[in-house]
Amino acid sequence: MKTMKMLTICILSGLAIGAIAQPDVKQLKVDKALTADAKTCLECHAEESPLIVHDWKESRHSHVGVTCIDCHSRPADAPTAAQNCPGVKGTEVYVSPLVSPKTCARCHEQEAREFGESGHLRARLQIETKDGLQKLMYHHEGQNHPEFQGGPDQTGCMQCHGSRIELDENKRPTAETWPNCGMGTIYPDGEVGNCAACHTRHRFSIAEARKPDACASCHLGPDHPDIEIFISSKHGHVYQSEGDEWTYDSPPDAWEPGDYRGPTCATCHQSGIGALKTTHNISERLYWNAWAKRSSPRNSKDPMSPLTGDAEKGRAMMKQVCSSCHSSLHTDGFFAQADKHVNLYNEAYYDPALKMLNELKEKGLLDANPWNDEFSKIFYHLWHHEGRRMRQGALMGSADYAHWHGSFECMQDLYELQKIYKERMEAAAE
Amino acid sequence: MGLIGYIKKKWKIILLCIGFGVLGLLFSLATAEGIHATSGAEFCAGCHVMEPMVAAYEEDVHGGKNPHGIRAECTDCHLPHDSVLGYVVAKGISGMKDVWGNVVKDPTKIDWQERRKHREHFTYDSGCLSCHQNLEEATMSNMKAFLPHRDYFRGFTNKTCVSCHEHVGHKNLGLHL
Repeated sequence: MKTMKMLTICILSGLAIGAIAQPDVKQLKVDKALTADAKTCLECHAEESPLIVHDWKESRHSHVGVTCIDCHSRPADAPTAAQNCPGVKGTEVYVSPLVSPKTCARCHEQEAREFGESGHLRARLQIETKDGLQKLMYHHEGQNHPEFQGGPDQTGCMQCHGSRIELDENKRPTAETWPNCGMGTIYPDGEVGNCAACHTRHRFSIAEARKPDACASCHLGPDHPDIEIFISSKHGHVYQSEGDEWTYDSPPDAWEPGDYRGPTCATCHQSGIGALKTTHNISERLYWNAWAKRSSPRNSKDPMSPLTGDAEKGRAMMKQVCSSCHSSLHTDGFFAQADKHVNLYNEAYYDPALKMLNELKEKGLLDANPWNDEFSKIFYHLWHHEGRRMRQGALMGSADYAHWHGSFECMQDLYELQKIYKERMEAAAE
Repeated sequence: MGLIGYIKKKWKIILLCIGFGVLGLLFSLATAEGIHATSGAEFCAGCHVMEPMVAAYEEDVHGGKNPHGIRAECTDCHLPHDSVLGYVVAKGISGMKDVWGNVVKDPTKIDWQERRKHREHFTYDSGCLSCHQNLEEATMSNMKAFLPHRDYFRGFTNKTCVSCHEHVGHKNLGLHL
């Protein structure tokens, strides 16, 4: 009984201390250079959504007086202009939760322009044009279910690739198309892209986007395990050991070795390291397309092309990145090894596999449903999973992915494909 | 021969000079009046197709909806202000185009919403900057205006004023069209 009493007292005092430690309703009074409307939004949302306002407070936007209304207000005639927020209802202020890169570009013009020239631009547009992919999402994975067939797209694909946002009668984004934080989001005003995919709202941090975690939420998994490749590379080894001690908030173009002892994704693909200029065009420093069925050097100025970029220029730039830490002997040797592995995939795995696929197709020896045909399934895994791991593992220095998850599994796939091919061709000949 | 003698001898030439001077002055005044009379919303709205633009303009700060009632004329934004000659030539050309478009062609067939996307083509930064002369210095006092305007004045961007201020001059034009 005595123990029970003590326990009760302990619990109650714990609760009391907890209650005292809990902050009151967040109160925020900001006056510096803000209009009355801007202050109304901030002060009310400090109570209604304190974490959002706290994020903003921690951001650089708060320092320069960019507040809620600067990004979220809309002219009354804009397609997204709404007054669902009770704070603006009946006033002259119209707002929308949807903020496209066009808004960011009012101040961050160069960044938005470079993004628009990069492969990231087609994240959504690209999958919309592929019938096979639409069929995979809705017909196969969604099983044509009358109500739920959108599940695979909405919880999966569009969370990284982005959606084509649609609005309901109150001009609110529909649950079929939002929320998502996908890179290639298409907004009702026709704008494409999503800055918050890497610089998450509402802190929009430069430091956050420079960490591999910013890329990892999409560039992972069996088909493009880029974060796993990075972590298992020597660069990742250094990052994992001491990355928490590095400096990530140096200004653009001035984030240099010394701030870090090894690169993150952003260091090589985007940063203004050495004499290079910072870029938001993540395709700019690439030689290969390392995700297509067959790898080719990049040679297109069109961001809608899978080969967007300039292979020779891209390779030269990437070598310049390497030169901040490595000798040219090291760098040239690294790319000689990596290119060999990409070419090996192209010629020793993809080409023979494609040849067999085409012959089987010609003779009508493939099931019409590629997801229910042993040959088609393995062919898909060969290029989409194993083949990408082989190439990307080699190009980003992960021995395990270049080899065990890459060329080894490609070899196994190829032998399996040859076996099925032989069986079907023989059966057809009889 | 004094001044009087000189005048007596050359009076025809002097009269001719004065006559031409007066004529020139009258012509200049008439031109200036003509240019002024054909620069504002009242004149432009004479063509029915411009009515939504004028209605939206009248609801806008630039159309007089401000504490001082000051208005920018249509041509303050829609004609270049780099030089007098450039201004007059552009006025002549766009004026003739407007007449052609309203008389010969059917102006009701124009997709104005689509045209709004090409607003950079129909406005001139030199116009904006002839009123907003101190913008370059003024932005230093306003941190959030500083960054975008710095990029503009340093030539880091190819954007024009209306690229960002896309609704300037005509408030909620979409509701009027």
